[in-house]
Amino acid sequence: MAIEASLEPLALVGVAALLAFFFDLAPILARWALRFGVLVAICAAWVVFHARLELGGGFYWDSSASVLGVYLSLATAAVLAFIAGHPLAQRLPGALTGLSLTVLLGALCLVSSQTLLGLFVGLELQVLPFFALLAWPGSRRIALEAAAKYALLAGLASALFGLGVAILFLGNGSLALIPPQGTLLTGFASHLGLLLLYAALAFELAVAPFHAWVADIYEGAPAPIVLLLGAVAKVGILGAWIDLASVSEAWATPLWVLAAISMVIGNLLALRSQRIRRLMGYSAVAHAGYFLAALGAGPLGIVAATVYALAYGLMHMASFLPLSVLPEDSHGIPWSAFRRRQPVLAGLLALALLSLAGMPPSLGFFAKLGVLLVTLHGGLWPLAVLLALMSALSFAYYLPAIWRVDRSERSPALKQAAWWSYLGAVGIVVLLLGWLGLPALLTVL
Amino acid sequence: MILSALVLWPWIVALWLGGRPQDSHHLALPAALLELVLALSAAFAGGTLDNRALYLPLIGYLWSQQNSNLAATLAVTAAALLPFALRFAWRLEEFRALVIAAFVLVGALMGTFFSQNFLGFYLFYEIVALSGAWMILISGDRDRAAALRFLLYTVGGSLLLLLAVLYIYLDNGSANGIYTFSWTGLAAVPRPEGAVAPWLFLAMLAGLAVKLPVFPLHSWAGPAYGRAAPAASMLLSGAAVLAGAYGLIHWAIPLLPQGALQFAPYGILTGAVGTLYAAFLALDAPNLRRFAAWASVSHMNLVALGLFALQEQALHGALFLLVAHALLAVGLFGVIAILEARGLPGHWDGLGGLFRQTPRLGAWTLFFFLTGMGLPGLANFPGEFLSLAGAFRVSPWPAAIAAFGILLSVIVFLRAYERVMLGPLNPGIPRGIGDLSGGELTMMWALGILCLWLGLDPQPVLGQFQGLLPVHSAVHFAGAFHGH
Repeated sequence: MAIEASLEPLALVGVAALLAFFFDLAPILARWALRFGVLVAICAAWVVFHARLELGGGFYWDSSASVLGVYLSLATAAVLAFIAGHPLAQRLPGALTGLSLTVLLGALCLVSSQTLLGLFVGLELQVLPFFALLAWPGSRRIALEAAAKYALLAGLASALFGLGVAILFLGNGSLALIPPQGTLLTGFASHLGLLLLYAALAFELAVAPFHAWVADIYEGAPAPIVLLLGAVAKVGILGAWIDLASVSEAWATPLWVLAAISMVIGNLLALRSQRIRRLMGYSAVAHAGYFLAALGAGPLGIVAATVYALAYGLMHMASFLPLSVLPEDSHGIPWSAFRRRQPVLAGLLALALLSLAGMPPSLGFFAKLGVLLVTLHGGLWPLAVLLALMSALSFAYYLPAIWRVDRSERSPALKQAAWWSYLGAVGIVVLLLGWLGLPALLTVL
Repeated sequence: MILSALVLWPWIVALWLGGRPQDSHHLALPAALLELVLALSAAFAGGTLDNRALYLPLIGYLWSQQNSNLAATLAVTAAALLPFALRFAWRLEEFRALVIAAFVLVGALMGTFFSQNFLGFYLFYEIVALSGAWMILISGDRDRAAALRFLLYTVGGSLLLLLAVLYIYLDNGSANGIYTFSWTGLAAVPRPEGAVAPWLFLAMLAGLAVKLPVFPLHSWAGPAYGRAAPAASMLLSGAAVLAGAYGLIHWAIPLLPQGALQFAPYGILTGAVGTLYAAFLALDAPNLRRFAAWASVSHMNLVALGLFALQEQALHGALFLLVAHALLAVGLFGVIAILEARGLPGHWDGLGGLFRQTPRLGAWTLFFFLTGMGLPGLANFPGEFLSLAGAFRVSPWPAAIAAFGILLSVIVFLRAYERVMLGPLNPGIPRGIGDLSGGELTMMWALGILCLWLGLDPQPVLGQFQGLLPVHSAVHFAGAFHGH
């Protein structure tokens, strides 16, 4: 049976995900499960790279889809490589790998799909595994609560999304998202449908009025799973936003209204939060706002938004990789112990926080620079001023997170694995020098 | 090559010391002196030493540097401050961390002076802010709130500056099709003009004036200069301000000449009010450090007055005052450092009558206080005189207010001197308190000779600023120049 080239990455990841579940059958195999996952994810990156500009079967690997697809595959590989040394992976490693690969499959669907149905399937594929992952055996009781909350809200979002797809179909009789055909905006039903889709994606991304779940889940769930959630699943959702926004350009206004609300509320809530994981959760709300600000700025905004999605995924990974090494119940960051025992990862965390704040010359600054440029170019200067002021405000919580001395300052038991330092070193290089690659990326886009 | 070395050498030293902190006492002073030699050779080499690297499409060469008389003069000033600051911090327990932060700061400052690409300038400008905040954080009272306030002011302002320049970049690019951040590209044809120009100028001002710090953006300065170690305050109030002033002259005014002209009357007024207001704050200061902090802010507002007059004489005066004030900052905060090294924290209640115990220190303190008052023949006088005289030609009333501020500062300095040095010996002061040691005396002499040289023979330094306005803006201001 021949498979269309545009489906090859999805087929590879899907088959591998199914296979991975069988690794739990024998203990000898189980030890190799995560390595298998890493290998598959790297292969997926390779296949996505070669599927560039392939169209067919409802999927189109256009430039932004293939850039994000390569990133998603490599990010999954890095996350799985990291989890392999984490205590969380001791129970059911095969299932863990299978579920993670399913998340990757969903994310790849989301970034490349050219039909609304494909988006819906992708959304479900990456949401469902998290019901199990967020309360993975071996994590705390509070993780169960987080998983339940996520299940409830993600279920609601999926339902909204499904309803939106149905109403859109009712409105214009087409599920296509390819720009020439997919002018989504004909008639009231289409507008209502699109509104529902935006609401559903806003829930998934935790954009401001729909953000209530994010801090609890960031705090309760095991850190490696939050790492996967932000670095893979969320970037997939960002890809879906990009797909939708590129066919509904006339709908820019709600995007930047959402962006403004999200920036303000996310930053203010983060400023008030004392615990590091809650802070990261609320700051993610603010970053969703920066992303939407780019997206609301017209055709050039799509490029800036893609770059921002990429940078956000990298920064999230760089902050939660080190946080996963700390004990699950730590409120602050025990810097002195951390610096002594895992100096590279501690450096990565500090750099990631600075980069999230937008400190030049880190990657985060150049991502924000792109957003500022396209918002000004689109004439949205109030939004650009708001973005500048909010980024300045964000220093008021990111920097104290670096400076704050953990009062308890007991010497916590950090999780250790030999190769984590190498991952951390790669992360430092990427965050510090990643912007040198942006020109090359822009020529691809 | 020299210009790149000026930036990279301090950073390399900082990296080295980060790995081997035990070397800091051996390495710091020679490294700082080498930096000074490099800066001097850049000044004497003159011309345009240009080197480029890191080409990015749509941005240009990110690492591209250009020499100019103004940049070289300010670079020499900043480099000259470094060894003094290090020497005054010698015995502090936080010396190692302070040295690293100071070298990063000075390297980034050199980058701001010579950058030919605006994004390059901005990157260095932000590194100055970050290392400055780091210095406040690790030295002196280790005041987190002061460091954060400093950083929020500077970062918030400089993001607005970035926005304004992005607007100009887009506007230029859409007009002539060349999207670039290089100075020549941006300033070649100054646009945009019209209603948006004053707003853009205000946004640039928000980023640049906050570093100076000009009146209403000054309120970070008291806590920052007042709570950090004196050596850190020297670098912040003497060297970091240079970046803000340089940005105004080299970027803001040439990029938006119309906006600058429209803002000038208000700028002169804010400078004048700031001079007076900061002098009042200094009069009311609770301790010696705050006094030095507000006195320094008062001088910087006078610099702003001179810059915004957009008049040759005033501009020369303002720039000269910047250089002179760097020396004065070392003098004032040096006295504080010496007092602190003898266990005197600087509250007025704990001081008084010191002259009897330590006559040499008393004499040198008087010397620096007289410099601060602007006594003719000492470093500050030519700068204060020229900026006031120039500003008076442009708009007399604000200049009169500023002159009143200078008069007030005479009272302020004399009163502070009286509180510290004169009167009966404060019983709280420990008996056998020592006078200046040999090393301290050497530094005082070096500083004193520099102050006298600037005061008695200002022409070599003033000559460096010759032709600055015409080069930057003769075309742009054509005819609109006032007060000539």
